[in-house]
Amino acid sequence: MTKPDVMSDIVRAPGSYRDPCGFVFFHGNRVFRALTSEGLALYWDFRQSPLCQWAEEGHWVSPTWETDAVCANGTTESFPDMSGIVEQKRIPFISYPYEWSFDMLKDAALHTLDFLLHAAPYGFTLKDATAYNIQFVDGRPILIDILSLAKYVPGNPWVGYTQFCQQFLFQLALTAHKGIHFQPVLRSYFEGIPIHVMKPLLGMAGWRKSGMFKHVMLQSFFQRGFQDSNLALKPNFQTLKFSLEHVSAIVRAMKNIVTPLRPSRPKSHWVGYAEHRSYTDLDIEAKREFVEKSLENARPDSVWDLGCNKGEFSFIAQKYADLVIAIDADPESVNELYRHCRENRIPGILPLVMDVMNPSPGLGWHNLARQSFFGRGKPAAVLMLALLHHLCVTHNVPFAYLFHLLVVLDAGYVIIEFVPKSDPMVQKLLANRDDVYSWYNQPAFEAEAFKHFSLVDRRQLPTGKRVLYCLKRNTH
Amino acid sequence: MRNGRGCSLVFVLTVVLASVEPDEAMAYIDPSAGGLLVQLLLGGLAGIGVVVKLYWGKITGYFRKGNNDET
Repeated sequence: MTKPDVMSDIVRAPGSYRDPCGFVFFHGNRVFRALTSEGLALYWDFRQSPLCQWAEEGHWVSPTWETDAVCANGTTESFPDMSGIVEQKRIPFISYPYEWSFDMLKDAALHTLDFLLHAAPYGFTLKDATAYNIQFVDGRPILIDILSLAKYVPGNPWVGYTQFCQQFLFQLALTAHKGIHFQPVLRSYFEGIPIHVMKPLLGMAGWRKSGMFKHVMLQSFFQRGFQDSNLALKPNFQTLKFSLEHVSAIVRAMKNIVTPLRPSRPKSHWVGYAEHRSYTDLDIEAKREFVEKSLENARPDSVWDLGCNKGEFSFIAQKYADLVIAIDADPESVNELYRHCRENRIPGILPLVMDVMNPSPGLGWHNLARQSFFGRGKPAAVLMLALLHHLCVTHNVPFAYLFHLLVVLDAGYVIIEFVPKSDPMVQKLLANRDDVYSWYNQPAFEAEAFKHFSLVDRRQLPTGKRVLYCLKRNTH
Repeated sequence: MRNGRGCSLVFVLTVVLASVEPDEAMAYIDPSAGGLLVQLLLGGLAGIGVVVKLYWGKITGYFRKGNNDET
């Protein structure tokens, strides 16, 4: 028998405190779940069921296995009340639903519903339906919380119904029926949109849309009706002999509502950005060549493509890096990128909706339950192409701030495009504002850059305006 | 569950009962009460019966309380 690993420097996941059956902790790069006796029983129920094999082989759940690893002080001393530890495959980069595009959230919703329908014949259900239990790996949703699986007890409702509505259905309906992007709403109501907020947001006209009368209007009405009541409603499900067939019928009906939902907003101008930009074909070719050559030389294992638009350069980065986080503030561009990756089965790209000017903060209890974006990882290389003028001219970010961020991110390489004032896109930005950007020039840019980075390569694009830089972080 | 009569009954029930409910948003609510009642309704005619019964209890309770207040 091999000697078990002894783990010291254990870090408990700050957001993992709700489930009484166990919690997540980290040891170095590895992810574990400490389980109570009840949690361990749930785990073995699932592990010994044919559902487990089906779910792991079909990549429905994140692989989890028993481990003989023990904590430095012994499992019971470090975690009193815990009966066992299982290890879970690490997700390359944790993302949150308020960073997903419409189709990402919709796919996560359908993944949850399909899993419920597949689990039902095996007598299993999900104890909850939180979107935070889903992560994206290689462009596909995957359920990461194995403890949310439980044997269904007859006479119970679909326990996760309300949570599903608040974290999936309402968000999708807002974008599909009202044209409201759900990301900032979900970031504020990070547990999901409460029914009393959803009802006025949807408005009278929204009730006619599929499922909205039942799941918004009626739910809101019933909630108001019983807000002061201490009447126990659950026994009614036992009286009615509620079964998995009832639950599955509701889940199927929910799937029929979610499946046809599409974003209703007209396409943003950023979606057509690549077609309407000010580059010549020669510029684009030179830019692609420069990015490809720089990445080939740097060989980073992870790349963050900030301001990725529809991912033109993320695809190049994906050839050299294991993981490309492709970030853009425009939900529709990110959605197109996600759909392209999904339809063409392109692995290794995680598209996320996020404004670099206002990145995801730490949220929830102690600001730690959901980590800030920059707290979740460090890129080996950063791409900042055609972004600088938006940060510096539109948002007045000084060069010193920009390079300070890149230093804090600890990126080994930065591939960045300098867009001069004479560029038509910058001229457009300056058309209706005072030019208070005397500091925005190439010598000042280089002076700040070379304080922290050394020049690997520099190329002026053929039109003679924009300049590309490949910078390598100075080691002190 | 999805037939026209069921939907009509739900609609009539909602419109009638909406008139006796205050239109005030929640001070404190059980977040799952609304979800449980929707599921009872979706559970079929027997579930609709349970919801009607629950509301009937609320209505008679309201009048009973009113009578007690007068005496």
